[in-house]
Amino acid sequence: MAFAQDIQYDDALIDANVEYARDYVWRTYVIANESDFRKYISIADGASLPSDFTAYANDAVYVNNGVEYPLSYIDTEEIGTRKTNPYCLASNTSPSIFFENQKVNTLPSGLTITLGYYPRQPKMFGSTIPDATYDTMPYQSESAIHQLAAEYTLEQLLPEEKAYLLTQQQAAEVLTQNKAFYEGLFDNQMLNSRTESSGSV
Amino acid sequence: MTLDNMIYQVLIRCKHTATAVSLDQPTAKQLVNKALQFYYPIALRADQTFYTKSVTIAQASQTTNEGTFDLPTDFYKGLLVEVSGAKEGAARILGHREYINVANNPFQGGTAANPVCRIDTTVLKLRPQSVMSVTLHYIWTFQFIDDETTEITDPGNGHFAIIPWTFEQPVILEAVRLARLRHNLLVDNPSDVSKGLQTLSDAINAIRDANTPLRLYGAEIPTTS
Repeated sequence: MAFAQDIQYDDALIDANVEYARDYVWRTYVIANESDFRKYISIADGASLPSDFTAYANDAVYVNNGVEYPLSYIDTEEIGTRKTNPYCLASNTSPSIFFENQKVNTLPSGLTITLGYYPRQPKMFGSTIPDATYDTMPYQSESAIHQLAAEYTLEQLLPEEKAYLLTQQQAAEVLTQNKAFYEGLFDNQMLNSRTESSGSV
Repeated sequence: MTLDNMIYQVLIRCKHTATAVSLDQPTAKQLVNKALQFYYPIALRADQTFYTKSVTIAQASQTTNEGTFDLPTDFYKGLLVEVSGAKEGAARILGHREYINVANNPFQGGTAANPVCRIDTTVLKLRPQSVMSVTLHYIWTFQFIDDETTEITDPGNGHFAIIPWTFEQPVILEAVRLARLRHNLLVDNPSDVSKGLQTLSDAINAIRDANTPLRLYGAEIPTTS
């Protein structure tokens, strides 16, 4: 059994482990209940995505003469068509959104829109550690974050060979979750947005 | 998180390994880069928009029926070639065989209203030659990152981060895994043959996984490293 005074931990390692645990739990919560974590900003065509941008929330609205119009998400391959084909030309009453150059892009160009997205949570190391539970995460997530952070930190106590296996297992777990996270966001939400009727209005 | 900070994150996780095999900063940098290369296709499948970029490029040279455009240095794969005045606003991107067929049969394209193009390693070839400028929409990639101040997961390189922040932890863990793999390979323990074989098998699997050809469309995001 190892005692605290025998364990040589760097603060940075603890910080990182807590942050990664928080991020893991955050992704789980987003998949379960995305409405808790969606954020809106006003942003113009051609502006850089906000620095805390993680993924598009399939909710963007343009207001034209007092009427709200949802933007339909398009793939890069559709840009040319949407610009020129008279049968599916983007317009102020049927605008489109796509992401390129890590910027927001609208068709027709030059629109200022309300963009819904999932922001990443505040960074923990290199700055004052925020109170993860009260400031950014639901109260009930607290024990899950602590447990996971402890699990990550325990790795340092294990002999080399076991630590190697645990690293592999951790990476696989995070990757599985990332897959669920992105598939949940992109497949279920972006693909659904192909129909013009979806959106927040 | 910068490359410097990622290397630090790997080193503090490998204290025992570092003592045994002297995992130094340049080696850790190699391992972080290996891990980034490993996760690039996975991140690309997860969020293609992160790696989508557009640039307007001018014609570099032309022959009697074909214009040549130099591709950007970070080019990986073409998605759309916008050409002003073309139907649907874009040139069709064809495979080399199709492109030659079209060149021999103008009814199929290669005209101002219906331009066609092909991508040849570092250049884009486009018919007709009268098109002087195109807007190329493409997937970008990155080379070995040597500058330790390079921002990897946060905006900062003229906005381009190298990989989405959700992959920061997997990248570090992969680099740590590689460091430990390297350590295991160096342990001289002939009596433990099975352990050695397992390690070798892991190494081969890792190389095979990392080199699996990338299929962008309809491909699943792998769940294991």
